Amino acid sequence: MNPVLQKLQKELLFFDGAMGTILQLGGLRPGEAPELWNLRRPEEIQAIHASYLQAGAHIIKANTFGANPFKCRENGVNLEEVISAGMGLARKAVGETGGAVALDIGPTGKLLEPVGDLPFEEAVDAFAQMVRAGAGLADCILIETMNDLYEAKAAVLAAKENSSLPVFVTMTFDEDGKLLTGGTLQAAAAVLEGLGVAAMGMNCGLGPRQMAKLIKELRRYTSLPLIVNPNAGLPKEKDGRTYFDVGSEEFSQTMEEIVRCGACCVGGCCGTTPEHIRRTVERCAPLPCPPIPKEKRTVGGSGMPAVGLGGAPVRIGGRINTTGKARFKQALREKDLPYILGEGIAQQDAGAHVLDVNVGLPEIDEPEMMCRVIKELQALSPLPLQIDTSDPETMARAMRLYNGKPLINSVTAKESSMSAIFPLVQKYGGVVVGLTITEEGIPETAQGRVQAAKRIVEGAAAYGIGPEDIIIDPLTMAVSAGQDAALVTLEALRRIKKELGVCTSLGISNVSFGLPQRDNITSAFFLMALENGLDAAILNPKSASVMRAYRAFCALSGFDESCMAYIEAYAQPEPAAPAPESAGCTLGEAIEKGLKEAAAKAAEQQLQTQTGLALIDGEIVPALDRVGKKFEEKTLFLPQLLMSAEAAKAAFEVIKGHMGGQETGQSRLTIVIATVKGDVHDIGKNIVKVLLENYGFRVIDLGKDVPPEAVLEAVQKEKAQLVGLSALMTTTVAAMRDTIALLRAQAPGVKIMVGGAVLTQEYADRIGADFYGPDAMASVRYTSQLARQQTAPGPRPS
Amino acid sequence: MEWDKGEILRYLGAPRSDEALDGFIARAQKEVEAAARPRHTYRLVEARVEENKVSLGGTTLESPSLAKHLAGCEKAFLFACTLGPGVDALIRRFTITEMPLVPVLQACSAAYIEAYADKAQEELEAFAKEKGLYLRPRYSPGYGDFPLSAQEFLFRALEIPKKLGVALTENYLMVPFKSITAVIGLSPDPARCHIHRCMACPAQDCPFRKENVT
Repeated sequence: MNPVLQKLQKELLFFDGAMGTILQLGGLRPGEAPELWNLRRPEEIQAIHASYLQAGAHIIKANTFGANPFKCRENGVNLEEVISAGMGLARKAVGETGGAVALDIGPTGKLLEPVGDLPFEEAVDAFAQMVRAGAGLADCILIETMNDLYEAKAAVLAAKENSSLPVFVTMTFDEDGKLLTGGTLQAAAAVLEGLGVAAMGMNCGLGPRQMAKLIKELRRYTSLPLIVNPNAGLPKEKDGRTYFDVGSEEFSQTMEEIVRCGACCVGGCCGTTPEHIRRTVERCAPLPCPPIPKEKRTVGGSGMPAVGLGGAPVRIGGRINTTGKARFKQALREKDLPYILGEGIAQQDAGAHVLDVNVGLPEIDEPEMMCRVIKELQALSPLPLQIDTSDPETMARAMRLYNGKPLINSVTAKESSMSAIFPLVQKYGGVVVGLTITEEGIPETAQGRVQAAKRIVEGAAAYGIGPEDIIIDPLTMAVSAGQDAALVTLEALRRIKKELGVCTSLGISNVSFGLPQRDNITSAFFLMALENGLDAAILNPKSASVMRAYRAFCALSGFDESCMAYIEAYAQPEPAAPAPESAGCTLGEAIEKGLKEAAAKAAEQQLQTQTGLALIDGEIVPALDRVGKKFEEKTLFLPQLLMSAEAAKAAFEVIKGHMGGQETGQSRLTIVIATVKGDVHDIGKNIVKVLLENYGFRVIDLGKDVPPEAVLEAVQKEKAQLVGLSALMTTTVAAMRDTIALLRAQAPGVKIMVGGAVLTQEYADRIGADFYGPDAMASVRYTSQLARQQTAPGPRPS
Repeated sequence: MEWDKGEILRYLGAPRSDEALDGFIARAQKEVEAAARPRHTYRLVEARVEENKVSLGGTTLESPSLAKHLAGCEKAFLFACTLGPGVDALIRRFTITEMPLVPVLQACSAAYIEAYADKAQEELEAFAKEKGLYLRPRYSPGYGDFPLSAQEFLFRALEIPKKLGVALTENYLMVPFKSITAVIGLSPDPARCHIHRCMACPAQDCPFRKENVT
């Protein structure tokens, strides 16, 4: 390692200051990429490096910040050439004076899937290209100005997988200590420390004054050395120019404060000059290197807020799980993502802090499904996830893709388990749940479980994983099968916490297996476990009695300030019986009023005297027709139309259950719908989908940004009679035209309807669509009309 | 910030409200307010307007309709704002759990970002007033023949990914979706500065077109 970097966290080290803002003074045009000057005006770049080294900087940032494959392509330059030129110039500069060179890596400017359109592995690959091009001449890799933890993770993986250099990461926070993507200081610390970076900190966005406040907070969250590279104040604007007005004297004063607050490596970002650095070095160099706090906390997180263990007990929602749930298994087999995601959101709403995700089912591709669920769930919910699988392959892929520092469920005390899981934790970071299971099975005594827990903690230490990243689960056994089952678990829990100093977790519901009115036992056991020091529990947050036990415990144990959470939950009396308006209405009325539960109930009742088909023809279809008509007459509006449609769906499901797969008439028509390639707006398409489904049609939804070939493939595979295409932007109407052309050539029988904000009848005619739907109802009318014309042979089971 | 209920109804395609819709709107407003973290950024540039093209801060953009819109302007603001990723996540979330609320959330967030942009623009107005200039209405890529590819220029010139956390997709769409970019001309002549942007758009049959607004 470079001798300068060996001093990290032993002596204060100084980074250089700005490059870009100095180049702008030298004539860099707004929007022109600074790294292009590595080739165009190399002397000036080298001179800037030299001036910072003379000012006393130990580490200089090579001029490679924006040289990622996307920007190099935009600028029409060769990535390797730009980076190696930049590295060469920095190397030459330190050759004269000594010092270390950082390969400087900035963000791509793109957002990663599922929020943006850059797949995670493509981001890793983009950064890997930079690392491979520059690592040879670098002493360390600085990943900086990151405002998305997920992108930072991709960059760190790329750096670690393609070099053995120390990796530093500095992120850009706002004054509240938040990233633009919503992540917090604590989450950043948890994720970066988990990924094994050598130092972390902050740069850009803020001046030294604002960072001084944040650094105090960050110091509490991490045991990594801290780097602080602020701008010369907050950016100001004058006559179209951005400028920074904190002078070198004021800058160096605040930098001294920052060092005293815990930073061991300081420099500057936008607007700083060699003078800023010189004064900072002068002032700070005599200071001692600040110590790193010893206390470590157990923290898991998503890209958003983090969740700490060891304070108020953490509720882990355990409903995304196949055990004993036929409907959930069916959803997995049918790849019914909305159902699975809905389970997650419902638990979030009920108060879960973390969601456990288990999608293991023998007949499905578990790694693929786990990755899909994690990706989609993280786009919907800020909650940290607990990846729950016994398959190491699934665990590896999920941990790599996960945005944040996951909880990992689980490792056991078996050698085979530890050697499979701990290397993953070492690489990707995570808080791992250790189950007290050995090669011989589950120890029957508390002593045996404590021993097993000890093996896990020691096994982890061999991989450099500290006890703060381990949660021990001493296993809940059914009390109906063993009189002492609960007592053994509780004793083990108490001793593990005391003797090993780790956090603990239990899945609580197993205790009541085999008993009537299980919630009684489960809640009581939960309380006992909490009283014995339980830090987290996998539970059903929708269970009222479990939540009552939890809230009462928190209020009584000093975790609920002024009993606020308890009061908020229970100050209102229990809701009364269902609203009277839903009582006694017919199926048709329930649908018209958009009452889901009433519709299901009415369908159930009316099925006692009528057939399913009669109900569909006599109640559901006419009611939907009346609602549709009111929508067209604008006497009711889209939300109400959708409510009626959802009520109809509830009724359809009841009827389908009774008809046992018999044809319901309308579902004979299959429709493939998609938002066309290049377009990522899918609200309109989703509305049409819900309406069509709830009118009883079979809808295959291909999602957004769908290439023409994928539409064709689905049409052929599903034998669809109708395709619905949506496009929002003028630019993506071209993709719609291409899709139609391909369908006309390869699937001539299929009808095509189109819709979307920019479309008009004229456009639709020009690109050869059969039908243009100006609103969601129009597409339903057209589909119904086609369905009536259908003389498709042979019934299709619905 | 003040809600413009008329705008929400216009985005919903509803000529008026009723009790049920009012309930939806009230809920959606609350959700959007809680999820939004609005931010904006802007920059003043020199503008040179020719017949079919405009030069902004030295970069030439081909667009007769933008040229027409900026006619007479020697300076322009490049402007961008976003509601942040929370609103997109909110809409995705209700797509899973409660579809009827989704179009209302969509309408409310559209109204919210327009109102936020108007509010953010007050700083620009103050600047213009000081110089004796007037602001033209916001003109965004995708309006008229102002191509969406011009987003690349605006993103670079304003450093939008870094400052707002907004990114461009391969096809120049913005994520988070609830984001606006625009060019705002500065003109010495107050005329044509209060035309609603819909009136400058050739899409006569656009369902959201706002008629007779001055």
